[in-house]
Amino acid sequence: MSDVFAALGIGLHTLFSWPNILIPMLGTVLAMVVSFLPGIGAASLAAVMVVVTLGWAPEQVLLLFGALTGGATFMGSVTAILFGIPGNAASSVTLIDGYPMAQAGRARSALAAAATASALGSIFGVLVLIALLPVIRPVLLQIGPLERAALAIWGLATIISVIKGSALRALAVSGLGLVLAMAGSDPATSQPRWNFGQIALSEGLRPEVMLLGLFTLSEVLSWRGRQGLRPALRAGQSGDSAAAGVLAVWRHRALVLRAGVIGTVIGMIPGVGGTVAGFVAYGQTVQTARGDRSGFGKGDVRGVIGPEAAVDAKDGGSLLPVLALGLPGSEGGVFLLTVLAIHGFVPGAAMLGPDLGLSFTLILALLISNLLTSVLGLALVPALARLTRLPIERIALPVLVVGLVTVVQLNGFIADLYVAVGFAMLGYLFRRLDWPRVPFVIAFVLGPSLETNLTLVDQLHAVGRLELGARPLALAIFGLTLVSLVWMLLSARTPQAAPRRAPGHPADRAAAVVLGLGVAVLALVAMTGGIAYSGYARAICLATLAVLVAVALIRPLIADPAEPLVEPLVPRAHRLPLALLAAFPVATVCIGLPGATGLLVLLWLAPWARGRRDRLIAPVLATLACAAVALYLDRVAVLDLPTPLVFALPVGTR
Amino acid sequence: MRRGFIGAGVGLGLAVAGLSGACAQEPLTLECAQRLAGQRITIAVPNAAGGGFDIYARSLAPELERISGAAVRISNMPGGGGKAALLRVADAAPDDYAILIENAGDVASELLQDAALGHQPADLRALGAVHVEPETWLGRADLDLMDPAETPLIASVSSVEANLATIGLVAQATGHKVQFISGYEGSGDQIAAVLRGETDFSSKSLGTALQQMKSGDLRVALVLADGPDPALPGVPWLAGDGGLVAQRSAGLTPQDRAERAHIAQLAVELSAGARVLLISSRMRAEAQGCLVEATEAALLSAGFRDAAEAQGRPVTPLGAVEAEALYTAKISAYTEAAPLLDVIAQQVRP
Repeated sequence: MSDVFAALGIGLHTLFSWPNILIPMLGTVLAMVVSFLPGIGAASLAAVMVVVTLGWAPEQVLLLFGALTGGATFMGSVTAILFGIPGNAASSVTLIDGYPMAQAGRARSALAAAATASALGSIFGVLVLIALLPVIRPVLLQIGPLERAALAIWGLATIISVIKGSALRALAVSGLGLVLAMAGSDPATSQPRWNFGQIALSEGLRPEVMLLGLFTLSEVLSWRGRQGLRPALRAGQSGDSAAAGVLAVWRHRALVLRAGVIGTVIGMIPGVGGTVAGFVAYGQTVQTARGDRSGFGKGDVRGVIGPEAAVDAKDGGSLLPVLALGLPGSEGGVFLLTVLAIHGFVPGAAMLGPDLGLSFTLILALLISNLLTSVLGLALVPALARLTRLPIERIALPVLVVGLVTVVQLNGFIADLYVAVGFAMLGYLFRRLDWPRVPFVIAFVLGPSLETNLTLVDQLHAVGRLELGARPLALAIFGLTLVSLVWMLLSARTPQAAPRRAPGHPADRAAAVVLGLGVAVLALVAMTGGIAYSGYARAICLATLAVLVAVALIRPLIADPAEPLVEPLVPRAHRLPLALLAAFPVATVCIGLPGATGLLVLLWLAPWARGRRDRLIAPVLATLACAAVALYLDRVAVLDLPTPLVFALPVGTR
Repeated sequence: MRRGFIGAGVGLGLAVAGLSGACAQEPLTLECAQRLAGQRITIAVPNAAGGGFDIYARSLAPELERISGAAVRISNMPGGGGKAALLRVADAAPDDYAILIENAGDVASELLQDAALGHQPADLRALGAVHVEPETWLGRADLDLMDPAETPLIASVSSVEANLATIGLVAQATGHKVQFISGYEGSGDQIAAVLRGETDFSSKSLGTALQQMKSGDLRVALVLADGPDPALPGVPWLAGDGGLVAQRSAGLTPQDRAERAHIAQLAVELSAGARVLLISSRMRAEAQGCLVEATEAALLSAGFRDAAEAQGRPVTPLGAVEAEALYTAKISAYTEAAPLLDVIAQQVRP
């Protein structure tokens, strides 16, 4: 034990010596700024820093990478709360209650609660990490495919807790999420599955592209013609303050502790990550909440506190497999392992023994970074909250352009634009018809983990390398899942928690039919597609089809005929953005990404041009956008896209 | 042809010596210096920033820029499992100085098997290689491949296809019965499966294996080479005299022994990792010549070696002739092995 304290002392000395203390601070600010910008993820920053830090002292490098790990987590939640656009998959859970809070004029409270819960969650995670580090190795080796499958099931079970309207529709979108996540290849046979011979689909649909389409692009569509997020925001609501958010976290400190435990435990498991931690914590938050539970999904601060504490607590846990076993559980872990290797450190026994001081240096940098992120986040609450007062109509176009360029930049494939636009249309449809998007995200993100690990369990059991009954940790997770399910189902039956009956829309049935036809085609392909389509894939596909058929058949019976239809499916203000977005991929193929961007800007602005000055501004801005995108692709993203069709066409002979 | 490839890998010293001689003179002829100055060279990387190929590309770029006088930029194109980068270079115009950095075996197999790419292996040619290393079987500490009781062996893999040559073909040669457990996500997950005792081994490059061995929980059970590896004394090798296949097939008929020896040699050639630089064959001949000159000089420079090794990436540079021989040998080996690999795939798929 004295060795541990000595190592902790080395870590503290390294951290607080001059000028080392500046490194985690600068790293944190850098990570915060970068993670706030779409398209430049924390992983890209880490990649650059691997090169930048080659000549640094090893302990300074660890201080920087600890800060990069911690600094990026919270910022993804800021856009989720303010604009309903999660910065990463893990932040999509914060959107469930954070965005409604902002819409109700409680952005300051939501942001402050998120920042405070993040700080406390990360402190908890780091303390557990410090306590377990010397003894964790055997425990980590108990976590295999069965445990990961059990966790994925637990995460999926939390869908019940986020259902606000029709359970049938939530089931339908969950099924759709699972089906679409299976595109690419079968994990066991590695045979192509539902990619229709398209190279761009050979690796499946990327979650980042899905999130950009389903949330960012679909959200921005509705910003055109709006002056602000909500009129109420301009005035602000009485009682909305950063202090209220901080106090809310203090009132719900037991919740922070519970969520911290969940986040830390899930963080230890390589390949599971913050998304599961956030959603499992949300499910627990809902089911263990005292008093009125009807506000969840509509702006209950507890729905922000629980997931935020869990997602930040997982940072500490996620370092355990890297340090103890040398196994990365995430992209960030890969870079950490790279810098450890560069500077001659061997993860495993050495990092838990002779180099324990360096392990503590890394951990303390993570702690400082998480605390600093939250302090800066709290300090910035007033400024961030003011972002909601921006004339939303004016920032819609820049956000749209950045989102679309980011989609192409992620993989270097123009074809990803079709995927993102497809998800944007789906997201728009879900929003207009009040079909929940969050269950779709949960299923889409956790589906691959569930299928892959079930496949591994099946194979390992078949060769006698896995005894299903001899895995106490997996049994414990299954037990907890069962308890959660029963609790959530019972809670859903209580009058206060009963979901409101969503108003019917004539397009519900049409949407279910169209989506059902799409799934039917996929089911037909699966049934005739041979070994690429496992029993799991076929079963999920057919079950989703059955649910969509049920939605189409049953929906009119539960719709309230007395409720007048107030809005058409596509209001007039949304028609132009929808048309422009739908045409954007085709325009990109024809005239290139810069040209298509210029055209988008021109056509977006043209209808507003009134006087002579306006009519000049639109083409000038379009030209500038075109030039900016061309310059960005060439000099920053370094992306040479295929020659546009118009330039590739043969010139006619005379 | 295959012997040429092996020669290129094992006789690295000769190649380096030859390159050294070339580099002792002016790095570029006047004509090439004039041709490349002010041009733009793009190195397309098939994975995201920070990966192995990216580190090599970013280590090479400053030297290539210094020697050629051109502006060198790195383009990360991970889409389609790296096929976006492959297509970027394969589709390049004749006056486009675009270079792909990839594993020669992966390029050869993708172009041979995936008709949707619309290209043949001959559409690319090699400029040089940054690193060549054998593959290994990294297993639990007590794994003994000569022990008859070690059957069936359980291997953790990410996909069946990616391991047909490195495991399936090797097992055909050694006579081991191997069961694939497919679906592990990434190298770390495969190694963790071995640590947990779910599987017996996983196929990893020599560099990765050496790194993992430092922790003491795992050891290299087999080097997929046709001779002993100096970095792994006492570890059995696959093919050639004294190799595992020769030992395990000692009691077989001469015909069966020859057949197994042949398969073992094929497995060695297919499994060896060769990180090569490729360009489009359509590039103008004079431009190709100048790019070869500049690239060879950059590959051999101390700046490149130091930068790559500082980031934990060893370098074993090869010139254009050796790299092209290696690339064409891969294509020949894949073409020859394709029917056998198909049969193995049918046998081992879950």
